[in-house]
Amino acid sequence: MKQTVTITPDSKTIATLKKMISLKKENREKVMSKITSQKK
Amino acid sequence: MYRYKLEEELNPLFSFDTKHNLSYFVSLKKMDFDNPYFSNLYSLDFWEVHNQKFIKDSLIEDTIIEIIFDFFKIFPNSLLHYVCDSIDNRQNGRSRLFDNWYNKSNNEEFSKLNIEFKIESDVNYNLEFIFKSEFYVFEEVKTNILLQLEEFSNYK
Repeated sequence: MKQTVTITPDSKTIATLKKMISLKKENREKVMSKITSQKK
Repeated sequence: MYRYKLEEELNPLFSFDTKHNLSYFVSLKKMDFDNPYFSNLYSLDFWEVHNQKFIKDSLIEDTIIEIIFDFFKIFPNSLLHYVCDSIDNRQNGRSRLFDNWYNKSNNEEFSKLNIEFKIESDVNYNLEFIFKSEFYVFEEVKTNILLQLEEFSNYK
């Protein structure tokens, strides 16, 4: 099954989504930092 | 498809290099929300090490799709999610990747839920979820995700 749901978020939900994006970026940075240190 | 290798097992991390000398990582990070329903939630992310994305290469998409399939072979009861925004205008490409993944899968075996958060004249957000139908009931997934988002929002 495949479905798309469209939601108009309130300000609190937007803040939550921004936080999720921010966590994703933090994880990338952690991974890159770890990989870089392992290669040294 | 490119050959890829597993760099890390706990939070599965894969890497592969392309014929254009680009290096990609595919990360599947286990999430913990103190909610038993999401005990097997993994956050998917993929990126080029130097943020180079200008070369069109369908093998990149094929490889990421294969990694997702392999991941489900190892962790079949996973709930995989991907979040993106429209800041870099690449959300359609990412959404297409998930559509292509779904089209290549057995549609009776897998389900895909896309939640679009539309904000007029502003950045839009997409939350994509993919999971095996034998482990999750579609409507339950949707209800739990929306409840969890509401809980996060009320927590602030």
